[in-house]
Amino acid sequence: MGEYINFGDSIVITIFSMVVVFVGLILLAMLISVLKTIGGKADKDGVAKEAVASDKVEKTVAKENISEVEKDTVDDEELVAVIAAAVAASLGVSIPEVNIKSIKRVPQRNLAWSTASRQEQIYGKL
Amino acid sequence: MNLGQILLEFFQSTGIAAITWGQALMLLVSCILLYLAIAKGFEPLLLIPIAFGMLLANLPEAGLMAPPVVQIAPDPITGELVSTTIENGGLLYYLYQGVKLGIYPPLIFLGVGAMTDFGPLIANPKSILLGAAAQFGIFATFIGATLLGFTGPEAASIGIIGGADGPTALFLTSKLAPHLLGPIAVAAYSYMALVPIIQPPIMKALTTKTEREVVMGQLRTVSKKEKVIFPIMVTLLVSLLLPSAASLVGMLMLGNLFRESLVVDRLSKTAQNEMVNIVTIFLGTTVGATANAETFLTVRTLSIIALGLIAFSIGTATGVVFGKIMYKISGGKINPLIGSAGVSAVPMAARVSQKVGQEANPRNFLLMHAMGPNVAGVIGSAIAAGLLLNLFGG
Repeated sequence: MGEYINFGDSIVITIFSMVVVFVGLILLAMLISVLKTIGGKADKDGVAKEAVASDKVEKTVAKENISEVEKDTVDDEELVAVIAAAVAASLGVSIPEVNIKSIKRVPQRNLAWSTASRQEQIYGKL
Repeated sequence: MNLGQILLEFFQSTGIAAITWGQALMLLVSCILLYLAIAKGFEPLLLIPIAFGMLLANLPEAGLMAPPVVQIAPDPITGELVSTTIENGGLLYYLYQGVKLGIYPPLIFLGVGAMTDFGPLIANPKSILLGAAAQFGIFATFIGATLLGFTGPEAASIGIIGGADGPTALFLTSKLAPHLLGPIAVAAYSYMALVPIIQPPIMKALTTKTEREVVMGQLRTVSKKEKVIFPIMVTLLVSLLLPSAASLVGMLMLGNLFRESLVVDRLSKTAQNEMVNIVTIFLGTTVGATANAETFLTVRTLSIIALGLIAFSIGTATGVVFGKIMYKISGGKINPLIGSAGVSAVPMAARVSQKVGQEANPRNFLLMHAMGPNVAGVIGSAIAAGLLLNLFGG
């Protein structure tokens, strides 16, 4: 193609290129839809199997926990120390001045993506 | 030899005696860019290497970008032509070969691929169309640039700024119009940094408040199998359709396969961190070094920077307009604001969609929905670059 191109040629190139870009990406979209029928189905079985497997793991973990109560307390103490330090730091006082009466774990009910969005929003306002 | 003569000769050998007005001005510009990067936090990861490269290249007599000087003369005994290197050339000249030969941009894409989650795109394949629509900015500017008297290859390189994808812009420019690398790199990376300022007014002007308030349904979960097949499928499809886009798309998808296969965690981490950081240092510094006074301080540079802004704005606008069409067709289920994310600039453009959407309706979370068109835009601009390379590269 020549060095300088005229207006008509540039219009033709534009139309041709946009058509190719669209066709390429539409083909991709169609292939992804096909992928969904193959991948999605296979995954359901996978998820079911994984769920069974993780159930087993949970049960074993629960059993282990009973025998390792002592170790758990140590972990909790560390956790309390971390929380106490964080509270003290955010209040701007020294740790002995903070009196923690109880710490309760709040169950995580939110979906992962909404948590991600919320974090995104918080970071945006920092 | 008296002391006066020694002092005079020393002064003549310094850069101060040899500096031109152009170089002085470029040194000032690079210092301003360094100030913006360090004190104001404007994309420091890219701007610091670019600005410092600019500073190094405009130091008189330092010759950091000087090519090697080779003498070819017949051998006195055999009569054969023998080449002897007289001067080795500067450090940045050799590092620049990675840009000139089109090596760094695909390597950056390898890292980008390892960092990108294509899940939102796989979950909502319709959003790919928005990534295609936003590429119109590239071609509208291409037409504009040909009208302003740029040659075909130059106009193509200027238009690709509208793809809002730094590595793609550098890749295409290094192949089609290497003499314009400096201004195009500066324009492309500046506009990518300015996405949060350029896009919102265009997005608000083209949409109604009701459209901006649309809350989109949750995306389906994408299976691991789909995520693994996706990069292989894209590479095959795009490379068979457009072999010239294979190096960009192929490396992008290789990086993504590292990430999604979950069996090469070490390679994935290296691609995302160390490798991409090393290449960014080389790329940024040498691209900055192409902005020397003789080629940068021209009226053409100003028109390239202006055309880049137009490319970017048109891309945003066509993305939003296409989003509006999809809003109508879907019966109000798609928020047109995700269309503007079609202009690559991952993930900044998607964040802008999220922010503008949330201003209209605080319960609106568009981020993951906008990531679909956003990553589709990367593939779309790589296809556009491959096409332009096909048309003008031969």
